[in-house]
Amino acid sequence: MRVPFTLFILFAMAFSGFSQTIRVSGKVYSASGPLPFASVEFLNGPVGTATDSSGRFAIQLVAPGRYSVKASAVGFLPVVKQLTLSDSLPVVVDFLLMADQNSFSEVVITGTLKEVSRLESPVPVEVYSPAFFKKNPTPSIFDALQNVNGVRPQLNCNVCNTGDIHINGLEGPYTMILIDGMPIVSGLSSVYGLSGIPNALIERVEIVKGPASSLYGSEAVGGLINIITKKPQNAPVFSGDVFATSWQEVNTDIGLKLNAGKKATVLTGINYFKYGNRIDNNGDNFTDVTQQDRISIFQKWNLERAENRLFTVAGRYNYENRWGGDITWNESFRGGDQRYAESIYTKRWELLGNYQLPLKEKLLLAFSFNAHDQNSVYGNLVYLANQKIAFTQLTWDKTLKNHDLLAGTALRYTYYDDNTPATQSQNSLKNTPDNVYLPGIFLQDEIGLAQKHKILLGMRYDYNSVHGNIFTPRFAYKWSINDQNVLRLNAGTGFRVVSLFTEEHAALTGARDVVVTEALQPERSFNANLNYIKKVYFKNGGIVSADVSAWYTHFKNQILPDYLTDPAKIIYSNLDGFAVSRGLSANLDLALPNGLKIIAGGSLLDVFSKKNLALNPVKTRPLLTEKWTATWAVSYPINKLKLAIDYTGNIYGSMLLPRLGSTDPRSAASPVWSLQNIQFTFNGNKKYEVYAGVKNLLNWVPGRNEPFLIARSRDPFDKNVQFNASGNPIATTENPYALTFDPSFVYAPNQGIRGFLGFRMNFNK
Amino acid sequence: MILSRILLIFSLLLLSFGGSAQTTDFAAIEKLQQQERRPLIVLIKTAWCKYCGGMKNSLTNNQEITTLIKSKFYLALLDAEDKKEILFAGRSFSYKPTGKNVDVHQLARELGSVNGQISYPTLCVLNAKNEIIYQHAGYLDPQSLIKILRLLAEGN
Repeated sequence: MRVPFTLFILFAMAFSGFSQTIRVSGKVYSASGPLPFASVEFLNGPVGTATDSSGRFAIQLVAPGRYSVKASAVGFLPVVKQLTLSDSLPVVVDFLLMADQNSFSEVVITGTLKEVSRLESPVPVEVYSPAFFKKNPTPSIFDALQNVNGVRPQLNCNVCNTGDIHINGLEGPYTMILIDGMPIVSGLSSVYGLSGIPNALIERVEIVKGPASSLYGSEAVGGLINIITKKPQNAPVFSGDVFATSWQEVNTDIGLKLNAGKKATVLTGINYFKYGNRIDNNGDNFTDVTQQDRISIFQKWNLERAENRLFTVAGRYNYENRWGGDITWNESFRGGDQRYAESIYTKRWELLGNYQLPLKEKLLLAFSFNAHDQNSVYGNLVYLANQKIAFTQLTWDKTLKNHDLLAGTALRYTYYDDNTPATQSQNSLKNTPDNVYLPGIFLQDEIGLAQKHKILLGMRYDYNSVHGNIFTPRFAYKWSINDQNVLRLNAGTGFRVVSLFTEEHAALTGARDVVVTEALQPERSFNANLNYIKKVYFKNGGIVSADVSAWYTHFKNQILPDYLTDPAKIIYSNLDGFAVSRGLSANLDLALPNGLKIIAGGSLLDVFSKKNLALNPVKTRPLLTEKWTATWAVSYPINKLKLAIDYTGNIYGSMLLPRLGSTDPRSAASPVWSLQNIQFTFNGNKKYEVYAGVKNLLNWVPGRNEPFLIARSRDPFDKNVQFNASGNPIATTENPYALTFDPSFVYAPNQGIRGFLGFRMNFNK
Repeated sequence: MILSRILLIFSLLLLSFGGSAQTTDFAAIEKLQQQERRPLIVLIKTAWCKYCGGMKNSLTNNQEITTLIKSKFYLALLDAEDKKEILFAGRSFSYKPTGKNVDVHQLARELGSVNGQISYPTLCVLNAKNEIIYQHAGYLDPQSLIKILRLLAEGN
């Protein structure tokens, strides 16, 4: 449809009465081609013009002399050039304009059927683009999520620095993490696999807080994080991103796109992260931050088919070698009781694909398979685990009048084996790996009622080969009051089978004995969530969007680890009572025409459980759960310097901490703590970008006001601990607090202030 | 208790805004062009894109802009994820939900693709012969919109 269109505006015509004129002509173009409708002005002359559709301009001037010529176009930075005109020689002058980084657009590009239009659905989905995560660059998705309100990556171990992701105050296992809509990150990998997902392969991250069970399965009680991988079609031909910190962490991302024949596009991504600097700033003889060596290779194929039907296949391989512990440790001590370290080798591969059936109806088959092989030692305790998950799902999308139907069937198979008693049969010592089949069907109907009201009804039925039937109904309602006001109400149930060893890191590390007092029942919950979005457009072009949510989750059963009853044990039992997570959160997103952008959010959380309802109800707040939290990202561009400034941060209220009984001198509750970062990005042109900044500006570390973070770090095998007859440690001069080795007192990264410098490049052709 | 308070806050927030637009249906453009030839401004947007909302607001509510549009242009809004069929320039464009990667309305693809990619919002201006004379991907604040529209109006 694009055809040449000629247009000349010659204000100079007014001067045509003079006989001698000088012709000045040229082209205005940008990195992506000629710029039509760019204006060309003579700053010290009376004339101006605009370029035609091919970016050309021409103008007649009356008098020789020196002129300043300015070319400008909306969305680009203006360029001024000096011209000296003599006599009547025609002059040609070209302008190359750079895009103004301050121009906003939503970077969701062609594609993404249900994924994006679901945003219009009654379920509130927050979408985060890579641009958001670039404000505070991190090597993996785990660290990146610290910038999202209501989402907190929680470290679970001082030594090996593995962690999980809390949403709205609920523990990591309640968060469902999906890659391209498939449950690839579950079980073992929800603790050990998150750091292995590099930011570079992400097209965007969608977050649903609250129940999302009818579509994704009953586990998504706290919420879900769906990581959408890049589409080969939209990826640049070559991209590179390298950054290093003053702690000598190095992260490298390389992306490459190739066409394989006419019908296929292949995207390859390689991520390498290395941290091999044994820093012990708190002087406890243990590494402050876990040493890591990690490579991830990702490849995605997109095959073109008739009628634009979809077929993509992707594969990923991830290898990680991480260890933390005694700063004098090396691999020859691995598994022994001479020097303590936690060392984990993880090998993991994933295969995932989407295939649209060649039918008139829209039927989509999704499939994935992943294998996670882990060889780990915690001191002299060896944990070898192997997990395989196969998943397949067929969905049928159908629109009938005002009904948007989505029906589907899914099957998940999980194989899990390890060297612990968890996979041993009770009577004999024969190894019996876990095999769980989870078939399910679901139906969702999104009903458009009049123009402004939408209702979503969902029902899911799963059959767990161990626990039986699972029904999870779901209801959602959306009222689009007008363009600028939207109200949503969501309600649903959740159901989750607890898997202690794969989810609870502390259950594994061996510092405490795990005691399970009875057969653990599945957890059951219901949840309601109210969300309101308001957008305000200012006359000067500023945009504010604000949203407020209130949520309530009630657990009829919840398996909570009890660290407090006996410091040598973690006791698990069914909840005799109920548990609640409720709260309020607000987000503000502001963009002003001068380029200032502010994204800020805060949440108030009230999480508790009530036991002994009949006799003497006791309300307890779980450990490691904050009462309030806030996050922010403030960005401002200085266009003249081609510089952008990002100031990001988060702050968390006090949390209760896992101490080893009342003699433990460490704090029972954390202080209010905050991590803040600043970044400067210099944008040379569209192809290159240099960024630098400081992370953890306040130099905050969790051990600042503690006598120690790791209890008895110099005697990690409890060789010098004396125990009494009942097996409890007793106080001695060497062990004044009567403690044993304990690395589970952790709630924040033990990494102080550090600088970083990075370089990005992008080639599209 | 908390709920009722929240609802009260919400209902207070609701008491604001309301826009009047003078947008045109694509199907009606042909007739309008026969009456008076004018460039057609198309804002390609999606319902979830907040910058699109900001531009739509400028195009339909900013007085300086609406005056310019009323006298010199036709304005149409195009939701790139609308599932309705659109008749325009003697052709029928539809939303073809045939795969995860083609969820953009054909017409939005025609008018909104810049270097083969669509981002939202995109402004596209067509002349009376339905030829693209201007495209801009990304948000334009009201001042920039006025500048562009003036240039386009003069050019015509």
